[in-house]
Amino acid sequence: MNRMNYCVAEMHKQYDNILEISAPYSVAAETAGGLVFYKQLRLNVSAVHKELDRAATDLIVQINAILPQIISIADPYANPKTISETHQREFSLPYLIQLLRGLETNSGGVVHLCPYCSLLLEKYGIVNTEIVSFSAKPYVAVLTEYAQSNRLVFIGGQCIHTKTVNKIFLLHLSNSIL
Amino acid sequence: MTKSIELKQQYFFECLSQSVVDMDEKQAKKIAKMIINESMDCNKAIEIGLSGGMARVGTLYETGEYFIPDLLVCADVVQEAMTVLRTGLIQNPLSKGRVVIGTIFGDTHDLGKNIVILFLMSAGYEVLDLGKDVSARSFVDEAVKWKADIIAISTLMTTCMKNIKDVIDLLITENKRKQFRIIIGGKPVSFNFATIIGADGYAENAVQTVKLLDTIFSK
Repeated sequence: MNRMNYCVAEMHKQYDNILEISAPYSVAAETAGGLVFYKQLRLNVSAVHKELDRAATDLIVQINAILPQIISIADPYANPKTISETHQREFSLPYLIQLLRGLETNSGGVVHLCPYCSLLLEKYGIVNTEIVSFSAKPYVAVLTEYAQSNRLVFIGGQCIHTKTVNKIFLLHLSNSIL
Repeated sequence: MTKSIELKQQYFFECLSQSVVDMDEKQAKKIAKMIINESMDCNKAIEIGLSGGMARVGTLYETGEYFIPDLLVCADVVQEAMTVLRTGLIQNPLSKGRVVIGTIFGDTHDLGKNIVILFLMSAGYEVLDLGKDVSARSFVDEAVKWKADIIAISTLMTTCMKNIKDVIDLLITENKRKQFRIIIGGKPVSFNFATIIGADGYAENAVQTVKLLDTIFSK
């Protein structure tokens, strides 16, 4: 694969404290073009791994330079129905973990994971989920509240575009893996 | 044609089909060259070997053995072997039908549509790709200009679903609806939605799109 330059994706359309990004797998797929990338998955595995590693590294550097209050991560190209669970496990999961590990050292804010990503991490025992219930509130307000604390909080289980929620899914990263 | 030549030809076509399933581009091109050197029927090689191979790939996809990356590599093998076989054709390969395809106005997602195109071409359809964010006006004008049989419209966004109906409405307004069959696809649409807006068919994925068109053209 040709070396590509990665850039962090865009701010949320409505809220300027939320940075929406794709996980390394989807960033690489978007940059190369979906068809080209999917073909490379079959034809040049080592080049794909190298590129994914670079995508994760670039994302970490760029996000840490911006330090947004809330980072929302999704991985739309890594759907197991599209690429198979085996491929997802080999090509998407390790680099999503690499990204999370790179952000883990930040002292505050929220890392929000799309429900598909958080379910995947939960399935492989990389996160444990704690559900906190409360009376209905706007989701962004809840996330912003959590972002004020002086430690980084991982949240998943619900789409970032959900308007109102009455519970939140806190994700606790497993130390043995991360 | 003697029985032995017929059997030999059949064997070559089966090997070609297998090389598509095996994603073996080198082998596919080698067999294609042998088919030409042996003066075998290249049209049949395309139909039985390549389209037949892709049909088997489609089945493997539907049974969960193959996934999108596999389909793309197989489609690539077909395109490469097709390039070789075309040099041995006396006349252009028979087209099963002409399809104008695009992602509807307001939507820029085109990955699914591009996969559908690869499948349609591999199955023997002629395809005109209008790209993404295509207006109703462009769909109609290009379909008329290109004398298409089918207008295929895709969307990934619920907010753009209604724009598909604009194409049908425009065709009705201009009295051109009967000239084309309209098929739709994409994550948010369904068979019910196709029925409601007056489309002629709905396909869930690339494999189903080929089956749908084969059914339409067999009538």
